[in-house]
Amino acid sequence: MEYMPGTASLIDEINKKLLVVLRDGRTLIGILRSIDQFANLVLHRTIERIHVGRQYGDIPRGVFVVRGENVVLLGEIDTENESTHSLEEVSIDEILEAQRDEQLKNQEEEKTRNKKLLERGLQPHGEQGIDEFP
Amino acid sequence: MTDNLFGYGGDLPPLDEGPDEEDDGEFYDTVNDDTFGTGAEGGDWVDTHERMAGEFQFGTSSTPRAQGQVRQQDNMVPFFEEEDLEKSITKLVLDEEESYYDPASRKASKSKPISIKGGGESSISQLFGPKSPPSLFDTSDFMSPTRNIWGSPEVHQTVEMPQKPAVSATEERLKAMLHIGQSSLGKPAEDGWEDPAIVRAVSDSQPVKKKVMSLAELEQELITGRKPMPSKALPARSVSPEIGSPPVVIPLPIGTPPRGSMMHHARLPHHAAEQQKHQQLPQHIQATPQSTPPPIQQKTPVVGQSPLVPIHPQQLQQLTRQIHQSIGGRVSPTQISQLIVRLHAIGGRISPNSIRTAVFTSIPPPPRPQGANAAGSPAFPGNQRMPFNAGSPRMPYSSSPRGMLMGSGMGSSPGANTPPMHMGAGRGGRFPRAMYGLTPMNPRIPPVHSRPDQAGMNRRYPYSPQQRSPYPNMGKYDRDGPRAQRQIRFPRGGGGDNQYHRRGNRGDYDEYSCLMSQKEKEWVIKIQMLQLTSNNPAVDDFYYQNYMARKAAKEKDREESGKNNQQGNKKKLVLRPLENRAYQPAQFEGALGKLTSASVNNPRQIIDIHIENAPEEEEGGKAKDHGRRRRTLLAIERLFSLVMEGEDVDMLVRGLPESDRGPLLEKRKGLVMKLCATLKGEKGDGLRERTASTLFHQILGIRKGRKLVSRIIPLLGKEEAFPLVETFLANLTYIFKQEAKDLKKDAIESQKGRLDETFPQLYLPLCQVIQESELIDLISLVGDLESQIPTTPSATQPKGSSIISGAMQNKLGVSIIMCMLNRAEEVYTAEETPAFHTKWMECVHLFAQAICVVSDTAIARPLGKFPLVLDHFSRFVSKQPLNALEKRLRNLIDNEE
Repeated sequence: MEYMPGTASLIDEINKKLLVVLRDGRTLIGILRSIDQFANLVLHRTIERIHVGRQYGDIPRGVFVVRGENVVLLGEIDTENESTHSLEEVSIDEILEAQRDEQLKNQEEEKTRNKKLLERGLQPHGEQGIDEFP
Repeated sequence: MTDNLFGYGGDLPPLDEGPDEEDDGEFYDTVNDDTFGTGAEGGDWVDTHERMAGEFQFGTSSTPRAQGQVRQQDNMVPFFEEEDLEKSITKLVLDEEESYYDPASRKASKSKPISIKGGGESSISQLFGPKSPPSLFDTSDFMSPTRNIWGSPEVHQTVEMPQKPAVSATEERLKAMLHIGQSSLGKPAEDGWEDPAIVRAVSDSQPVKKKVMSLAELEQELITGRKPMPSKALPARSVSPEIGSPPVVIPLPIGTPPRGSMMHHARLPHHAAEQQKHQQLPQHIQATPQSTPPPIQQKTPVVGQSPLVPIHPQQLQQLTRQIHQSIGGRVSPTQISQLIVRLHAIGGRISPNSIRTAVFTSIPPPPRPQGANAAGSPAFPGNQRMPFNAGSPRMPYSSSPRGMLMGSGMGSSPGANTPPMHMGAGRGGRFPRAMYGLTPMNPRIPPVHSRPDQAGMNRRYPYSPQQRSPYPNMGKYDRDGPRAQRQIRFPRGGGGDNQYHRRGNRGDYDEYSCLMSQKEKEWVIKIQMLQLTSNNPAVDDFYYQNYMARKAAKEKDREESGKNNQQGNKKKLVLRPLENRAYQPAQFEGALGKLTSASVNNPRQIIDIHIENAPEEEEGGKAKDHGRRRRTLLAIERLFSLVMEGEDVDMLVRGLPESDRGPLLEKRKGLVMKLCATLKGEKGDGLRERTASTLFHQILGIRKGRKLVSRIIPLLGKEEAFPLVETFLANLTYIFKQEAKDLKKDAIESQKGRLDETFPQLYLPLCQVIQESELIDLISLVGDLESQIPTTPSATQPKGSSIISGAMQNKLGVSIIMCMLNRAEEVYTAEETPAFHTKWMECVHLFAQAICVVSDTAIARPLGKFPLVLDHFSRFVSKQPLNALEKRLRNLIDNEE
């Protein structure tokens, strides 16, 4: 099997449906339409998929231009089997709600952790903040 | 039996749809009678029909045979499959589009468009009386998967109308699709437009159109049990659709394909089955067999387009409402499909006019009417619109009455896609936008929601393989369909269609697939390659090269150990060699610093430190005395930079295939010439001139200079190197002296005594040159050795043998001498000139004499192995001196080993 060097390898993925994870933790699913040498991406018919637990919701985003540096990973979606996962799809509102709840929960945990750290004389650091990566 | 009758023959000439033909009317009559019973309906319905009928001519004769066929169908086809329905619908839609686009069809068709006098709502009521005849037959009878609905050639034959060749493929298809009407009579559906049957049933004068409307109403009635209400939306539909007309109100969402693309999509459904496997991209709309929405879609656009339309919107609304209610938010495909089927059945039974209307409305029954439309009735402006409307994404999704209404309204204005419609779609409005964008793409693909799980993703992609799957049975039709579509398409495409590229599979278009052109892709690849391609990998990417070399070695080992295991899985990086461009660093004379003009083509320029011209040392008249040494040092510096450059070039040359070495070899040649010229000094004879004043002599007096020589020699060819070695040997005594001086100085300065010797470095290149020498060369070297350049003019010159004796006590000297003797043994026998033999014999005797003078302990240890030396001596030297030589040299040789 042969592959091209660097971002040129993405050329094979053009017009395929990709899942892209961004640095801020967002997950996009769209059809890759264009790339350049920096791995800047143009995604078409993009949805943003939010996962919370075993639920997920899709928010339609349309065309998405992603600056290459923000791409954490990307991979092709098996369109034939993509419906066979065990996750449950919920409405946008529901998933947003769930996400918010989760974030609040994480915030709470963060607070308590920081508090405990301070009690023990440790300076809390932001590493484990409410990151996009749960 | 029906199969035979209705088989689809692609070659058949277009059907004559003109109202003139009365034979067809007979068929419809019979069918209608069958369905509704003769004179089933009266009252308003009849009146409206009569009005409509005024515009059309009808045939009145009915064929008993047709009736029989219909009944048989009923018996034969117990179950109607959704898939068939979908197929039929999609086909209808496509056909409509095609017919619409196909100018030929338009021209060819004699049939006039059905004009609705009433126009908006009123027209509906007028045309379609509240009372429509009930359908006797179940829809399933007409459309059964078991039968080949579309494919019977017989139908076509019967249908064939030589008069209208232009319409050809599309029409034929339409006819085939409309098989229901055809099947019973075996006559073209087009006639159905003015189907006398309906008229007869009610009254001879009744217009066919009435019947159509009534059919729709009937359907509604069947479904809901109530009569259809006139829709308020009607006026909107009255708008005349024109093909190029821009969307009225709502701009397309981002990602909405251009119209042209939409058109393509609309046609796509035919290809679905074929492309299923090929297409991996999700499609905008899912066309699954189950999905019921399609009928709605069709209906709405139709309504808007055709003059008859006004009536339908209401019906559609009602239908949609009912469906919606029954289904709830989401459309259950089966229910909807059933409804559609019923509609279909009704339409089929009813006169061709009804079918026609149905077509306009995009109701399944229209198949017949479509054929009629395809016939190319100019009257169908709506058809043109159809693609757009049908293409409107909402349609498939909209299960709600609202959506229906909107859709119908949309039909009138192709461009107007209302987002709200989408919102309402099965997805629960999650993807309003997406749906929006998608819908326009496949106007004709009816089923949307069949797959809830994938809904989000798949909807967007009009042509997913899954969508295609619904039509496995399509058989002939499918095969022929795409081709026909294409034929029509291309002419149509004119400007717009061509912009959208095909996706390789037949008829499968992804209109955005061309977003990145091949040129752009290659550009990206080139950039990446440029970054990885180096003319001098060992220098540019040393660690990677080493890493890869090690990796390759490892893999080789692994392969050898377990050969077959890992063969297939290897991923190999593709590195195309780029064309070798001569790299010309930008030179700006007088510029203070190097310009860093890195570019895509020269990404490395920024780190390219390249000093083209070393500044010439200023010739100051003041410091002439110690200026001499200084000049020598500067000369050495210059030579060193040349040498390093030459070594780089050498490395490059070794890394390149033979064919690409040309320019580099040229460069190297230039460098060597420069080197030699510098060594020879200003007078150009520095190497021949055996005086102490030459630059070369000066250089040899400096340790760094001797190292320089050791690096220069390998760079030179034999022709240049040999004189250098000759001169070197002529300076041997001086060199020994200077080396000893330097070493002594080293010993004093650094107590620990790590001596920086140059001789080991010098030995190898010298030895190499000697190893390549012929006997004559060796003789001349010995001559050089004998005639040492006087270090100082006043110094008395030692004789030849004493020089050699001295050399024997130096490790470089002994190495050189032994090397020469060794080489002589190799070439002596090959040399054929006797003069050289005698001369060389003298040399050997000289050596033997000189060596015997030196005590065996004083002889330095040579730097290499010279096993042939004693053998060589034995050739010329008599026994006694040979023993002496052996005593001295054997020791060295043995020790070596």
